[in-house]
Amino acid sequence: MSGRGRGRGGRGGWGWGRGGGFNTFASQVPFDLFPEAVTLPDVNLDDIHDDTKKLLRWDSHLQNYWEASPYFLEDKTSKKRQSMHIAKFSDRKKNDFTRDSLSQVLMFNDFPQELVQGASKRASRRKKFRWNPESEMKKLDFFEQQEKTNQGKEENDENEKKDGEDGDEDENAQEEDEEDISDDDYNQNIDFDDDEDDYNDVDDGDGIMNLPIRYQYGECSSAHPVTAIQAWTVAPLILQFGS
Amino acid sequence: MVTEHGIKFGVHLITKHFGKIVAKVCEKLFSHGPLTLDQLVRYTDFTKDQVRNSLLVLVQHNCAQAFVSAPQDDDDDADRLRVRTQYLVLFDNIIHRLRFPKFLDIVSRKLDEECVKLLVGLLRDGRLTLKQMVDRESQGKENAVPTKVVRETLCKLLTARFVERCPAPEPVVSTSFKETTTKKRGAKSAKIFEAPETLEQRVVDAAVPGDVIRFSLTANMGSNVDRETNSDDVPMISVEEDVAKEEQILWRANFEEFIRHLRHKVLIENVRTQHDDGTATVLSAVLEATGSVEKKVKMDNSVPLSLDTIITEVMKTDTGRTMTIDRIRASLVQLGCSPSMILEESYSIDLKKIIEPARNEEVESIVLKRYGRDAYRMFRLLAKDCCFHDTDQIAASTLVEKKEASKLLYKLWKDNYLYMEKVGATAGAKQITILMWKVNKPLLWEYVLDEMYHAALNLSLRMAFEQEKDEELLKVPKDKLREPGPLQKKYKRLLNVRLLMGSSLLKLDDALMLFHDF
Repeated sequence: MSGRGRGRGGRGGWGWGRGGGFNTFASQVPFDLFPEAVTLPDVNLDDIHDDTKKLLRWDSHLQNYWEASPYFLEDKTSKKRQSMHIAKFSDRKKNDFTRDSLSQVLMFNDFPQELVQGASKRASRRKKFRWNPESEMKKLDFFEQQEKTNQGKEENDENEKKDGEDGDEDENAQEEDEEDISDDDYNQNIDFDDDEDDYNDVDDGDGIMNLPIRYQYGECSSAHPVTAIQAWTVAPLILQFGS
Repeated sequence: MVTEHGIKFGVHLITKHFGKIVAKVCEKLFSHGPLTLDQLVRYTDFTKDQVRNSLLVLVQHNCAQAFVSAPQDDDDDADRLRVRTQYLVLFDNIIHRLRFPKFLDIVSRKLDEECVKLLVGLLRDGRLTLKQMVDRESQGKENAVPTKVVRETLCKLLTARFVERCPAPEPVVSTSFKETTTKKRGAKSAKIFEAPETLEQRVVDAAVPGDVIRFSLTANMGSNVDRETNSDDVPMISVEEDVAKEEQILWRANFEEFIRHLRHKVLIENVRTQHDDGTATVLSAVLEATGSVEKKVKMDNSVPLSLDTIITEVMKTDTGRTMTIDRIRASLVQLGCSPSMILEESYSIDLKKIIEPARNEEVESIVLKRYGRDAYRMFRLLAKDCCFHDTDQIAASTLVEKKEASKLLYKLWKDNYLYMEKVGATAGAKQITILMWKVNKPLLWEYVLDEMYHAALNLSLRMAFEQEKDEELLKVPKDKLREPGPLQKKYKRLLNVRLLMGSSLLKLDDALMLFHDF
């Protein structure tokens, strides 16, 4: 349905453009991320019900947890490459946040077999999982603060307690991490170091090794259709090598 | 069918919660349908480990389901031997992530604070075993919380069906669509399917354990549900083994039950505004009594109940205690239980009829805001009649000038709110075309839903943008923010923005559910 309405207007425009040999150019309009021209109704923030605020508080708690949880996968490899700037003493505190690893929390018995392969070994030396890592990222939590101003003392007490824990846990976490680094890096590199060539899939590795020989002997009709196609794509490369 | 913006919104939610890698894997699953691990590695250009971890996260959080396609007749032997696990992304479960606070709210209203805590854990981590729950509760406390306490809380949640066992990790599912509807699902094929069964439904159905196992706490599969409360007293051959097994079972939140709950709430509230409190009480009593028997969330009609049962159910409620039998019967008639629908004195309420006006109202309010009062009147007329009208007729019955009317109608049609057909007619020697207009509800609803996903996406993006913009505020010590000054002003603005946008998103989500889940 959406195609119909827009299609009409659009098609007319295109046809004209082609016929005219593109002698009109679209005028450049600066890209406005969020146009402010929209008129919005006035709202009174006091109208927002307390229940809604409670829901929002839960929401931000959940969000903070996920951001600090092992489920939030980051591209570690690219980060390492990009870290061009020199580490300053003042940065020391910024990067003290460490994530638990997935194998610490997942129970691998109820997952598809192929996903669990190799992970079971790591799971055996399961470390203590931190169930509340978001307490370190507390700064992000706006609603908590709002709450604090309202409730005052008891909340503060709780926070102090939490902070105490955090300190301990941080030390633990760092220790753990030092151990972890070696095996993590190793695992990453297994797959990472190959040059991500589309044709050099890890699985098909030996297939390709065999192909040039076959091709040189004029036998390009491979039994398997996929390898046959690869024969043609690999062929130019081999020829270059040969000459 | 998931619409374009629905997918975008789903991917955005995943990005927000689990980062870009998981989101890309999820996006590929959306665009290509079920894929194997190797295919995903090829499409995403990630390392195998990254894809594997992404899938682990998606499965852990119930956003994806693995399945093995059953061997087909035309497969050769090599194909038969190879087990190929495919991964299917579950759109609904991804969008449900937006509603987690609402789920928590339901539990905090119906059950106690302990249950909320347990559910928070399940929503945060997707799936947990009893042992993990105990671990989680004990962390940061001096004494470990006894397993028995956590077990009791879990029991409460299970009885209310808010928690369930996790589905089978990789069920075998037939992916060919021709024969299955007639052969495989013998019992169900007798009924006429309204919509063709999708692969998603089939995979989910195959993975879900039977009702008895699904909500039973004990490891022993054969045991009945009732025993979960007193299984400790029952002598068993190897109690320890059983307990160990029990601690290994993975649990997750039962989204279906939560959505059913929200649906019932909307139904009752709508009836309250359309009719009166008494009718709403009757409906809520009926829904309360039949909730556990409902097969799926989107029930067109409530489960038939006899008048006697309805009366007893109504009497149980606080507000219904004073209602007379005649009053209850009158309410049932108001709810659309016409005498012809009453079979053997059992009443079944047409729930679709309650949902439809609510949807209409939603769309009408959009038309009113966007196109003004005249367009709103014309749209209402067409929506009410559900048949074709020509321009003149519409102009006459809504008292809008003819020229203006055709302009507005054209505008509405261009924006997909109306359906138009041209009819050729001969008046004397001249050929004229008459434009006939109509509201095509199923199409319109799908379109409105897509627009709402779009709006939700924009709203959510804007929220992220606002937060990023004022990121330096996070680094400012909290004491400074309390002092009056430009910083405090900025901080207050950010708070208000988040509050306003967050509450709008919650409201928009209500509308999303109305069109998609109810």
